[in-house]
Amino acid sequence: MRSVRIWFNKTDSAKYISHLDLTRCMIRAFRRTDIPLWYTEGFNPHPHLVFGLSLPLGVEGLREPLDIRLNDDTYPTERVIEQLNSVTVPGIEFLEIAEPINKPLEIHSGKYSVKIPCETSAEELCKTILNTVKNETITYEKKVKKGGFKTINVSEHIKYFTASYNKNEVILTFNLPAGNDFTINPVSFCNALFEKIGKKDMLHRITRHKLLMKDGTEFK
Amino acid sequence: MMLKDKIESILPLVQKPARYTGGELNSVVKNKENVDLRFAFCFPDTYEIGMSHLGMKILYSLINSRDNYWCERVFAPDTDMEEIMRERGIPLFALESRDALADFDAIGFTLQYELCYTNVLNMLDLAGIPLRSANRGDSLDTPIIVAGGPCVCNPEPLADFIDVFEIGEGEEVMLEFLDLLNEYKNSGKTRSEFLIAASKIEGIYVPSLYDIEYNEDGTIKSITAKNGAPDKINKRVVADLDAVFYPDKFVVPFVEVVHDRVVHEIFRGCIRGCRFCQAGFWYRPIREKSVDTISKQSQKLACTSGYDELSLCSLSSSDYTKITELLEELLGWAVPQKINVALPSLRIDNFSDELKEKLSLVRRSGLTFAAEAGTQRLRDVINKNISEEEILETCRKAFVGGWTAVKLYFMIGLPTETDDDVIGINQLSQKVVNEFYNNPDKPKGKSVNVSAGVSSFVPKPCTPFQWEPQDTREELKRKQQLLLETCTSKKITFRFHNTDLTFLEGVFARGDRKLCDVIETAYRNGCTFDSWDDKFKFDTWMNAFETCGVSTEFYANRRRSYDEILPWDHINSGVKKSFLISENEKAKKAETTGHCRQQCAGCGSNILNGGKCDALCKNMV
Repeated sequence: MRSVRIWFNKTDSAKYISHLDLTRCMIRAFRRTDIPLWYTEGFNPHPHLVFGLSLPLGVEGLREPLDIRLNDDTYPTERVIEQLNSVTVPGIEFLEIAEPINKPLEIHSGKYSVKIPCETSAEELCKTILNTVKNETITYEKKVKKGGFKTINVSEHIKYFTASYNKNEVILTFNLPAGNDFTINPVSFCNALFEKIGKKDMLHRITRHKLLMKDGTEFK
Repeated sequence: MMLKDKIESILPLVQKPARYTGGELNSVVKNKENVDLRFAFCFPDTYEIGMSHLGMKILYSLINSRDNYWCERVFAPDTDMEEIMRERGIPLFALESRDALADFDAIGFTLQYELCYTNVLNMLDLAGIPLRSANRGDSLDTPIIVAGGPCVCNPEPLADFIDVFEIGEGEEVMLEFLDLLNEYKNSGKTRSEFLIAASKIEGIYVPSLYDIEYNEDGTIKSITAKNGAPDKINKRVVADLDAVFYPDKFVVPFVEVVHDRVVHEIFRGCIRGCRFCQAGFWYRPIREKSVDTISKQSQKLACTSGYDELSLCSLSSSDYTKITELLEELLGWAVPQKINVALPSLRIDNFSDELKEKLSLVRRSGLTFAAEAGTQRLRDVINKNISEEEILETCRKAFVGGWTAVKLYFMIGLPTETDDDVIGINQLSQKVVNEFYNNPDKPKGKSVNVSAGVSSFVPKPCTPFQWEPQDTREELKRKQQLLLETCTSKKITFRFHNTDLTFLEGVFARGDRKLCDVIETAYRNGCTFDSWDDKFKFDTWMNAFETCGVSTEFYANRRRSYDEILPWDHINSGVKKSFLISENEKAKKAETTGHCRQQCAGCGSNILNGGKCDALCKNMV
C-alpha cells in the first residue's frame, strides 16, 4: 500500500459540485477504472480519500490536491492520471500524480482571482473596488455551529490584493486564509464587497489558483 | 443578457445548484444543428425524485440512441429556484443544452402519481407554453405535449392539457411517435393533421379527438371517437424483455438522489392479483427477462456508472422463476467488485442458508413486510394471499438472524373493513413483538421496534375495486385514532398517511375531464408540489372545487354500478371488465383467487401480447 497525491482541477459547471458530492463523484470515477484503490478493512469497507482542502461551492479550483492509497505498489502511477481522465466528468481534469510532500494540515491560505465581466465602465468599477478594499472595512456575518452569527473581518486577513481591468472585465487577485484552523470564504468576501459598492448579484467567476503554506510557499 | 448567462448568474443563489447545471456523467450532449427532433423529457417533481426514475433513464437513452433525435432532461425547479426564475424572466430550460423548452419539438411528461398534476401545469407555464391544448394553435412550431406513465390508465383529468398520451410501455411507441412527428414536421403538416395521424398509432390516445357526453347526474353518457380515432385505445405491451432496448449507461447525478444506484427490472407484471393494486393489473401480462440478459446488462451499467449498488426491481422479486439462479449469478461478480445487491420485496424463506449469508454480506436495508390488512378475512377480501403464520415465521427468522426492527405495511379503508379489522392491525403487530421476545437467542439489552406504516386505501381504475367508494376523510381519521387508542405497546410505532392527500389522490385517480378546470384553478391559486406534505394546500384545493362547482364526493366516495360508463372505459388495459367484476364479487364474499402460476384466472391481458404470458408457460401447457 502506498499513498499518492493526485492534482486535479474543477472548473466550469463542475464548480457547483459540493464537497460532499465531490467525494462520491471521485469514488465512482475510481470505480470506473482499474486503479487498485485501497479500501479500509472494517465491517463496511470504503476507499480512503483525503482532499487537501474543500473548495467552496461555486469556486473553481485550478490545482487541487487529493490523497489516495493504492493497494498495488507496482501499478504505474502515470496510468492513474490516464485512467481517471478517460472516465471523468466535464469540468474535472486530472493533472498530475506525485509523492505527497507537505501534510494537508500545513495548508494556510489560498491564492484566488475573481473575474467580473463588464463591457462598459470597467475602469470605473476597478477604481471603486480598489478604493473600497483599501479604505473600508469589509466584514460579513458567518453562521456558527452553536447557532447565531460571528462577524468576520476580511480586511484584517486579506493579502496581496490587486485589481486590474481590460476592455471586457475587471480582474481581482488576492490571498485569503484557507486551512484547517481558519478560513475566509471568497464567496462571502465577494458578496460583502459587491454589496458594499451597491452591485449585489453581479456576475463573477471566482478561481482558486493554488494553496499556500504559512511561509507563503506553494503546498506540494 | 443571453439565457445561458442569466442561468449562470442565478446558480450561485440557489440551494444545490448541481441540480440545474447538467454535465453529469453520461448525460448526452449533441449539436442541435445536426438533429432533426429535440425532445424534452420532463419529470414533474424535483431532480432528486425524477433522477431516481427508471423509466426516464430507459426512454432518455432510447431516444438518444437515434443520432438524429436529442432527448434532454427537465425537472420541476425547487421553490427557491422557481421564484428567482420568475423574478428574472428565465424560462424553464433543459439541463443538457440550457435551451428554453419552447425551442423543442416535443415535451414529454411522465405521470407517476396523481398529485403531480399541478406541477405539470406549472412547468408548462414556466416554459411559456399555453396550458390548454386548444390554445396552442394549429402549427407544429409549438411543441407537442405528450404524457405517459402509470397514471395514464385514466388520463382524463389532464385531457385538456396534454396533446398526446402514450398508453402503456413506452419503449416502442415513443420512437413511432417521434418518427411520425419528424415526418409531419418535414412535410409542413399542421398540428391537427399530425394529431389525427398519431391517433392511429397503437397505444396513442389523442384526447381532443374524443367527445364526452354527460348524464344529468354527472356520470358519463357516451365517449365518441372522431376523425377515425379508435374507439378503444389498447395499452402498449413490449413482447420480449430480452430483445427490448435497455440502456448501457445511466446518467450519474452529482447530488444525492433518492435511488442512486444501478436498477434492473427483472420482470413486468405480477402473478399475485392483489385486488387493490393497480400496478398488479396494469403491468400484466407477466414477462420475464432472462438471467443472462439481466446479469450482462447490469454488469455493463455498474462498469459505466461506478455505482457500488445494484437493485433489482419488480412488483414481487421473489416470484421471479429463477431468483436463486439469478442471485448466484449476480453475486458471483458483484461481491468481488464490492457491489451490494439489494432486493426489495424479498421473501427470505425461499433461499438456502448459503445464499442468505452471501446476501447479508451485501445487504444494508432492514426487513419490511407488506401485510396490508390486520385480519385474515380482510386479507382474503383483497386477495393478499399470505397467512398470519407466514408473516410471523418470516419475522421469527429475521429476529433469529439478528434484526431488531421490522417494518410492516398496512392499509385502512379497504372495502368491507370493520373496526375489528382495524384493531387487527394492532393485534398482528403485537404478535410480531411477541415473536421477538420468544426468541431464546435475542440480543441482550436490545429492544424491538415494530414500525407499522398505515396508509389509506385509494380505489384505482383498472382494478377490481374501481367501483368501490373510498372512505371519507373523517372515517379514515377515526380509524387512525382507533389504532392509536387500542395500541398498548410502546414497541409499536405508527406512521400514517395524510388523509387530505389520500382524499385528493382518490378524486383524481377516478376523475373525468370536469377536473381539468379544477386543476387549473387550484394551480392558478398557488397549488404546486401537492405530494409534498409541507407544500400541500388543502383549503386552496377545496376552494377550487367549489369555484368550479365540482363535488369531490362524486369522485371519491360514491359507489359506481357495474354498468356505469367509467371515464377510462375507452382505455384498454387488456384485463377484461368481466374479470374485474368477478374479482369484485369474490372480494365481497372474501373468496381468494390463486396466483397466476397455480391456475390462470383468465384476466385476458395476454391478448395484447399475442396470447403470451410468462406465468402461463411454466406449469400449464
